[in-house]
Amino acid sequence: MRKKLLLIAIIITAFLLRVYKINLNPPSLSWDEVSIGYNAYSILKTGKDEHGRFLPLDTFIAYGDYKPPIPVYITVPFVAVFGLNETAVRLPVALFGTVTVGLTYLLVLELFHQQKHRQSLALLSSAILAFSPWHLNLSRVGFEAVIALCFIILSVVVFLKARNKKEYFYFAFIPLVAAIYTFNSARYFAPFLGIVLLVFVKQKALAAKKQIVSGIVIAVLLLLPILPHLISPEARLRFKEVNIFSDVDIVKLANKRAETAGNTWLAKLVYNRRVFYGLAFLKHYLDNFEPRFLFIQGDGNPKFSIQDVGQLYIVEAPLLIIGIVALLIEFPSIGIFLLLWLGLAIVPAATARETPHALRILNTLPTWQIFISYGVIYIVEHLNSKQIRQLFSVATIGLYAFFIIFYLHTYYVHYPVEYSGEWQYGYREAFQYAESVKDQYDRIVVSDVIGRPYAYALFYGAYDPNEFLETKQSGFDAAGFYNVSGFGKYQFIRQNTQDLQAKTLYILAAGSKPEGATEVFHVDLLNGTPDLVGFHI
Amino acid sequence: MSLINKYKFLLVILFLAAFLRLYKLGEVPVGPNWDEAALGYNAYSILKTGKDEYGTLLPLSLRSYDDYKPPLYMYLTVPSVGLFGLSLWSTRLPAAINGIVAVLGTFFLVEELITYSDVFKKYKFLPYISALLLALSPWHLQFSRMAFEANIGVTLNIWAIVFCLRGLKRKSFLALATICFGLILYAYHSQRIFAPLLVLVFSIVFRNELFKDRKAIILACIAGLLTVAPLIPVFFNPTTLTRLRGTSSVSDTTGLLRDNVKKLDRDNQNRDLLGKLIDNRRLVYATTILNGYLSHYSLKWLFLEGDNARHHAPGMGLLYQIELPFLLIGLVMVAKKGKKAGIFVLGWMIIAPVAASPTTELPHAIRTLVFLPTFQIVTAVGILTIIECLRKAPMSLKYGVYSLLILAAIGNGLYYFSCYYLLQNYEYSQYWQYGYKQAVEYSKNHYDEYKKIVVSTKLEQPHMFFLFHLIYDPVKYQAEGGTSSGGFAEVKNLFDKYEFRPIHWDSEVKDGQTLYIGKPSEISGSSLQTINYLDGTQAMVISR
Repeated sequence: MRKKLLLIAIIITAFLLRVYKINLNPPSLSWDEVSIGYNAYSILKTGKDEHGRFLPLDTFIAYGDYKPPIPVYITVPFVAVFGLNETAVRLPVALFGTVTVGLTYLLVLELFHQQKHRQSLALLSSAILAFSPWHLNLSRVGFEAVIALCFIILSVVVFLKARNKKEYFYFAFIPLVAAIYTFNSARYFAPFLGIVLLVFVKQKALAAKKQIVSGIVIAVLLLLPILPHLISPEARLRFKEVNIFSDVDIVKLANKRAETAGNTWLAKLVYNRRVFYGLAFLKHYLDNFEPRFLFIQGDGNPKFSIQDVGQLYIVEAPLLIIGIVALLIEFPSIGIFLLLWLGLAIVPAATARETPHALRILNTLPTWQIFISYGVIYIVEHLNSKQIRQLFSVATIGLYAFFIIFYLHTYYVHYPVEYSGEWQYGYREAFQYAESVKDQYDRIVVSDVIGRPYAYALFYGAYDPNEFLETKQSGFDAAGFYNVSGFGKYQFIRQNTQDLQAKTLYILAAGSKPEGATEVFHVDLLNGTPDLVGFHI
Repeated sequence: MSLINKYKFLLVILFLAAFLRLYKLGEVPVGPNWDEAALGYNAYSILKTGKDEYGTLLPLSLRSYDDYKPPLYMYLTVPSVGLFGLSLWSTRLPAAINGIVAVLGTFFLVEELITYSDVFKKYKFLPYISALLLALSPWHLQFSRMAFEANIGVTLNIWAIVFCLRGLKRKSFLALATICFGLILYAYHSQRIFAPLLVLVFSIVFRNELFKDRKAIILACIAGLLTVAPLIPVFFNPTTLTRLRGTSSVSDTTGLLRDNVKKLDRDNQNRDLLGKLIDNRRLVYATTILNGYLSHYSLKWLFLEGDNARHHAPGMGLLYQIELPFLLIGLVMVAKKGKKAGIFVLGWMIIAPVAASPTTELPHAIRTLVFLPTFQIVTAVGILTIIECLRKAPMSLKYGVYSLLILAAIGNGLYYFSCYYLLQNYEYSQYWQYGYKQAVEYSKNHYDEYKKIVVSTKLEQPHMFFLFHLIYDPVKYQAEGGTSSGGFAEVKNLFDKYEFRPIHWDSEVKDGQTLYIGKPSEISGSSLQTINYLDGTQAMVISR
C-alpha cells in the first residue's frame, strides 16, 4: 500500500515537473513544434496537411524534413481543446513523458521479477527518471522522441509480460511499430530491439512460436503504409545529409595517409577508407559516452540541455558505474540485456555527424536510470553497518536534492533568459502584433532571420488551411527543403529590402529599420539583445 | 638454464619491448622538442662542469624554461651523454631503458598480485600478457621514446609496488619500496601528488598484512624520508609553486566565473535568496575540477584521439581500439573476482587522474601516465576471461573467434605501428619543433661570413636548440653568462656570435654581416634558405 502511494506520488511529481509553466519555459516554440501544431490544426479543420495531402499515414512533408505522422495525429485533439498555442503542442509530449515514468516502474518490476528488491528498485528507477534532467528537458517540448520512447518501453513491458501469458505476444510488436511511426531514430532501433527481446525471452518464445509469428505478421501489415516512404529517395536524402558515410573528407584523409605511408599494397590495405569509416563510426559512437556530455554540461545544443547540468546528475557517475558492474556480476542476463538496449539505441545516432546527441539517443533511457538505481540498492545492501548505511542514504539524498534544486532553479530562472535566442524567440510576439493590426496594411513583409516565419504566421494567425493552400507561393529548393515565400498578405524575404512601399508592415531583424521609417513595435530577446523590429513608412 | 627456461616467454617480451623502444630511437619522433633539448644539454653541462645552464651547481630543481623540471631524468641522462656523446639518441636512451625496465616490473608486479586474488591466480599467463600489452602499448611506447620526466616515475611506481608486495612477506623489501617512492618525487610534478595517494591506497587495501611488523615500517619510513629530505627546500621554494599556479584551471577566475557573475546579478535583481545560495562560485570550481577528473575516463580520448600531438601518434589514441571490449570485460572480472589485488588495481585507476584534475589542457596523457600499467593488467584479465569462456566452446566456434580476433589484433597493430613509424614525423614534425637542426647546420656552414647571427625568440627557446645542436661548450657558455630568464630577460640571451631576440624586419640593420633566422611571418623579401616542415609547410626562413 505504501509502495502504491509512493508510486502515485512519483507519477504526480513527474507530471507536475513536466507541465509546470510548460507554455512559458522553454520560452517559445521551436519551428518543429509550430509545424506539428499547424499540421494538426490543418488536419482538424480540413483533414488535409499543409501540403494538401489527405490524412497522410506515411509522413508529413512539413519543411521537407518528412516528419513521422503519429505525433501530429496525437496533437490533433489537444489543438481541438486548447486551440493553437504552446500548451496544445507541448502537453501531449508531457503526458507521454509522465506515462513513461509509470511504465518504467512496470518495466523494472517485470525485468527483475522474483528478485527481492524489485519493488524498491522499480520505485527508485521511476523516481530517478521523473527527476532526470535528460527526460525532463525533452518532455517539456514537442519532441517526437519522447513519445517514441514511451512506445518502446511499453513494448518491452508487454514482451516481458508475455513470458507468462503467451497471448501478449500478439500485441508485443505493435508499440515498436508505433515507435517507427513516431521518430526517425527509432526506425533503426526498434527492429533490433525486437530481436534482442526475442533472444532475451527465448525459452518462453520457443513455446509461443504461433503467437510470435502472428505478432510479427501483424506488425509487418501495420508497417505497410509507411514502407514506400521508408525506402523513398526523400527519406534517404535526409539520411545522407547527416550521415558520416557520405563524408568525402574521410576518403581524402585515407588516401593522403596511404600516400604518406608509401602507397605500398600494405599501406593501401591499412589506410583503407573502410578503416577510417570504422574509426569515424567508433568516434561518433563513443562521443555519446563523453563524461562531459553525460555528467557536466549535457548536449552542446541548448535546446536539449541547460548547459549547467549533464544529461545525468554528477552524483550519478559513481552510482552508474557501480550499478553496471554490480548488475553484470549479480544478474548477468539482465545486465547484458540492458547494455544491449543501451548500446543499440546509440547506433543510429553514431552514423550521424552531430554527436553526442541527447535527442537521437533518447531511446537509451531508462537503462541509465535502472543501472543507477541498481547501484544505489547494491551499495545499501552491501554496507553492513547500519550507521554507514544511514550516512550513505542521507548523503545520496542530500546530494540529489541539492542538484535537483540547482537544476530546477537554473532551468526556471536562468535558462529562458540566457537561451531564448535558441528557441526562435520573437516570432510569437511579432505575429501576434501583426495579426492585431493586419487590417491596416495591404502587405506584411517578414524577414526569415529567425527561420521559417511562414509556419509561425500560420500558427499564431490560426490561418485557414484551405486559404493557405490557395494563396501560398512555395517551392522545394535543391536540398529538398520546402520554402514558402508568401501567402495571403504575408511576404517572406531573405534579404532586407531597400525600396519600401506604403501600407506595408515590415518585420525585420533588429537594426534594419531605415532612417525615416516609423517603428511600430520591437521585440528583444529575454536577455535584452534586440531581436526584431516592426515599422512602416 | 632452468631459469632461462622458466623465463623464456618473458625474455621474448623484453626483447620485443627493447626492439620497439630502441628501433630508430634518434629519428622517430623527429626531435628534439624543447624539453628534450633542455634535458640533453643540461645533462651535458652537468657532465662537463657540474653546473646547469644557469650555472647552478648540481640543481635539485632544473630551472630550464622557468618550468623548474624535477631533476631525475636529467641526471639519468648524464651517463648516457657521457658514454655516447650529446645527441638526440643519447638523450632519449634513459627513457627507452626505463620503458624496458617498466615492462619487466609489470611482470613481477602481476606475479605478486596474483597471490592476492582468485581470478588472477587462475590465469597463469596473466603476468606475461600484462607485460606484453605494456611492451606494445601505444601510450607507453610514446613516452619511452622521448626524453621526458614522467616515464621515469611510472617505472618507479611499478617497482615501488613490486617491493611493497614483496615487503608484505619479507619486510626488508619495504625500505626498497619507500626509497623508490622517495625517488618518484624527483621524477615528475604530478607524481609528487600521485605517489602519496598510491601509498595510501596500498596501505588501506593491504592493511592487515602490512601493519604486522611496526619496526620494519618505521625503518622503511626513515629510509623514505632520507631519500626525500634533500628535496624539502625545493618544495618550499615559491618558484615551484608558480608552475602549480600556471597550470591550474581554477586560477583564471575571471574567465571561469563570467557566467556565474551574470547569474548572481540576476538572482540579486530577483531578490532570490535560494538562487544566491545555489549559484555559488565554489560549485563552479568543483564542477571544473570534476570535469577535469572525469575527462580522463573519456573513451574517445583513450581509444581514438589522444590529446596534444606530441602525446600520441596521428590517427591513434593511447590504447588499441581492439582493447576496448577486453578492458570492459576485464573491469567487471577484476571487480567481481579480483579480491584485494582487484581492489588495489581499481583503486590505482581511480586515483590516477587526481593530480591532473585541477589543471588546464585536459585530458592530459603525461600527467596521467601513472595510469600505466593498470589498463594493461585489466585488459589482460579481459583477454584471459574470453579465452577461458571459449575453452569449452565447440571447436569451430572457438577457432572462428580466435582467428577473427587475432586478425583484428594484427590489423590494429599494423595500423598503429605504421601510424607511429611512418606517419608521425610527416604529420607532426611541426609539433616536434622541426627545423633547428637544418638552421644550425646552415649557420655553421656560413659561420665565417657573418659577424652576428640573430635568431628569433618567436621560434620558442631557440638558444637551447642552438646549444644542443652545436654541442656548445658549457664552460664557455657559462663564462659568457649562461641563460638569463624571467620576464623579458629571454631577450638578453646571447653567446658567441649568436643573439636571440624578436626580429623586427623593417628596423633591422640588414648590413649583410648579420644572418637572420626567423619565422616565415617575420622575414619578408628574398631569403637565403627556407626550411620546411616534413609535410611541406614553411618552418623557418634564413635571410640577411
